[in-house]
Amino acid sequence: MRWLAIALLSAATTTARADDAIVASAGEPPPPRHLVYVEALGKGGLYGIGYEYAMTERLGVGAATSYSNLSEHQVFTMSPYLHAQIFNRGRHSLFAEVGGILAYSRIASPVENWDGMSEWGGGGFATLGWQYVRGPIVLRTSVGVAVGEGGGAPMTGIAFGVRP
Amino acid sequence: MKCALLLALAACSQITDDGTPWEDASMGAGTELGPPPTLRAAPGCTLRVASWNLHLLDNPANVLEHFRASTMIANADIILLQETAQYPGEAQTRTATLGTDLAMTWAHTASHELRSGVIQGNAILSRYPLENIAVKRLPHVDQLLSQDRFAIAADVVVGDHRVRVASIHLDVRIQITDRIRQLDPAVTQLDERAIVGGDFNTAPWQWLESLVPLTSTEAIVGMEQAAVLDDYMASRRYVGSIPADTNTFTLPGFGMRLDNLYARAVPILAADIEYVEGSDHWPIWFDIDVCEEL
Repeated sequence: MRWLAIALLSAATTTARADDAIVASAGEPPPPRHLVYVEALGKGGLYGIGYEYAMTERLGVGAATSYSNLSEHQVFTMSPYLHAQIFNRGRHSLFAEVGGILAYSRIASPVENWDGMSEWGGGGFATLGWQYVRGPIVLRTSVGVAVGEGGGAPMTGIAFGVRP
Repeated sequence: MKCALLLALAACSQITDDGTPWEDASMGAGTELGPPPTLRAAPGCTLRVASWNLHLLDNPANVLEHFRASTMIANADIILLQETAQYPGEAQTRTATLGTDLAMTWAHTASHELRSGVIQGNAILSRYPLENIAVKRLPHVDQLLSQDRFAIAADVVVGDHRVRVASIHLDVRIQITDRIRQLDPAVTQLDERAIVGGDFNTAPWQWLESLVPLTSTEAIVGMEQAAVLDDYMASRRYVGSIPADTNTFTLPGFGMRLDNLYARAVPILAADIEYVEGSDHWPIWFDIDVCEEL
């Protein structure tokens, strides 16, 4: 976690340079700041959708939400997060994300005379990932750790998005 | 449709039947009953019940050695076994080997034959006579590498008292809702005064099509299958003995309570785990007061 915080801080401070901010070169349209995406297995949920806003070329903020219903066990998650590019080469980049996760879990009773269970939970996550960009298309995959009321656990995710 | 789409990835998990009713064990094949126990002393009121999944204990000498190495388990009056096997070419089951060595009677039911020819089963070992032995095939969960699951039950006769005891082994890699569907007929169709124990395979996670554990979801919410199962069992008036956050799985790094012992209408006096090596499960035990009724 510590190395990731340092990497994010480093990325954030390097993006403070004026020439690194999202500005268009003369005659070129400004790079898109908005990213919408779908994601599988990321940020605490099974599958979800997300939106991200690029504050600078390397730093963005976003939020993802997910909903799943597996055998009458429903899980809803909401995850605000910070995204930072650590390393960039051509269409490829290495990125890190940290954020929080708020989750609601509800198990419907499959039998009589038991009410099922429901619970709210909260926690955080930190991931390291690889991004590939081609035109407006963005593909990301990441691995990391989620920590919450149930302890810590590995997590992985894959996202497919567009920058309209 | 969803199952068809996901079939290429993994088998869909779903309950496909209701299993069977509790059936008299003397009527069915595959059930083995031991000779009457050799009673060592007049029965008292405290009865020690243990439960152990013997997975990985593939040598009969090993099974005996590990039981003798224990203190709480070796002194149990009733031992519920899961995955107690008979290997090809062997004259008797692990259950019979243990029962003979510990001077206990037993009721053993074969549950599943592995490709290697090993026949696994569930059993009840007892220092006191067993009566009304019954076997139940649990509702079948159709999934990747699925197999039929069974429960075996018997009345343990302790002097003037008796208590119904059941040894149960549930499926792995299923959702908690399917786990409860599989368990419910077995525990609701028992006498009011009952002990239920075994390997409930309550790995903490949700499962995506019996293949992918959703570990991060569980980490955030902290809603483990073991705790949900305890809540469900409480609705059937069963009291659990091993806390949901206790580890009964021996593999380092995986803290999960797979096993438990529950009592209904019988007071629990003490309970714990004993760290006996050999299996990938730690054995568990509890003491009950068979003379008292709640």
